[in-house]
Amino acid sequence: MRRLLVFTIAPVLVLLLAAPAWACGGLIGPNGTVSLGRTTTLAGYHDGVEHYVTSFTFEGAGGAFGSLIPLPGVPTSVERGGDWTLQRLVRETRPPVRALEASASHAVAAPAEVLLEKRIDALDVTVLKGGGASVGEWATQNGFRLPPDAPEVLDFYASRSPVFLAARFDADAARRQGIVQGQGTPIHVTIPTANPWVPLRILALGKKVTEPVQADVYLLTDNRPTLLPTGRTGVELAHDAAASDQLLSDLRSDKGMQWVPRSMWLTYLRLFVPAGLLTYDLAVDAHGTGRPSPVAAGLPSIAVPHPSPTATRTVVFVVAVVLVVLGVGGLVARRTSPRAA
Amino acid sequence: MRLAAVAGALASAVAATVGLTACGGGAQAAGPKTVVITIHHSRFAPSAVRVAPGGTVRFVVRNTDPIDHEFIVGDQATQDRHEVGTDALHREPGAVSLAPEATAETVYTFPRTGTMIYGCHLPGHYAYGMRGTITLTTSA
Repeated sequence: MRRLLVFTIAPVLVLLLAAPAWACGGLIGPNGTVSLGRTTTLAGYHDGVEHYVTSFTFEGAGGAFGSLIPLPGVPTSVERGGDWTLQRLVRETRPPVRALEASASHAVAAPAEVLLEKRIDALDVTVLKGGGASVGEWATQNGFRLPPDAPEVLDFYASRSPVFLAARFDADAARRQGIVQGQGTPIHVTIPTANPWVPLRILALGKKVTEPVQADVYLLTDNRPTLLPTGRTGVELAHDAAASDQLLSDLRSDKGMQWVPRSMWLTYLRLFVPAGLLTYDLAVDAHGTGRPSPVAAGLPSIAVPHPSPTATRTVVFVVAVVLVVLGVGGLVARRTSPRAA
Repeated sequence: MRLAAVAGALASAVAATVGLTACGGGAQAAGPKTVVITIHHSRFAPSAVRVAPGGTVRFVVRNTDPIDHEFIVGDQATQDRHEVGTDALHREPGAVSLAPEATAETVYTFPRTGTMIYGCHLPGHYAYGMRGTITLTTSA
């Protein structure tokens, strides 16, 4: 029974006038500018299925914006998510903050395969399968100018998983549908996968290297997880404790969240890093092996995973046992060996 | 895909060396020499070339990216002008616009002196590092 729940909630740094919505992905405007500020995303993992929840909030601007979200596998469903889940998680670890979200965009590409299309409120969600170039061409052909770092970033993800979710936010349609400014549209993506991970590098898409990226990452797992990378500048472990019964009960009461089990471990990572240094994702080992995948983190395979607290305790215990054995052995040896003359 | 890009970049470098060296020599063949420039991940390869003063070069530019790019040759003043310009397409000598995964070419005759640059001036591209230097030297 492996359980993992992951959230990414990136506080808004600067809300540009042109930013109608936000989500956890690279935000791409029609003129190539990027105005991604605050993002809210949940990627949950339980019984081999990842539940990815993110929200797009209408901020009143016109036109169409889009967001690309790398996925670890092909989703079996894309549905409207519950309205309560993301807010409840934020409240668990910090005071309520005003929700602002970025919007969606399309990627262009040659022969990217469209696996799924779904309309959710004012969002046009498309799940794509293809290489970085083909997904990029698909986005371009759908009217969005990708920023100059997009080809490298798309290849960065496509080399590990060729599946992307493109969410296009039509602000004009939102108005016609009566969606009011500040109203969020959560989406819930269900993805069977053996290796969940949280895409972080995509948050830096289109930003200047010195521009800060902020994100809050929540994990809910059966046991205390092992993460990679940790200990880096700009990655702070802000919460590390068993999830409260009340939190889990509240989450379970929201739409599509009945899969949340009765006990989980809550980890909260706060990300605050210049975009130029955000060259990695967050790999999570929820299987108890203490070895999160460097590949999933986008790191060279030679990278050594940060040991989990459990693994550290195990090492300490083994060392202690060895020392005790050596100590006892030494005493026995001294008592049985003949003394020097 | 990446292998092909690397191979392309190497071919570009070789072509640049061969073509530009020929420009500076006394045994000039008929017509301009060719330099192949590859664009991959919004970078030019090679990022520096050497050209004989007054030489004419045919640049073949291969865009391997899924996004639009430009290739514009000129001095710093030219680059500055294009950085704030609004021309959507370029076809003048020494300048060409490239669609995703497209190849295009342009011919440019260099001055006898000066410092030359090639760059892309789509929004954010030049600042991202899409530029290369051209050294005018008789040893090219």
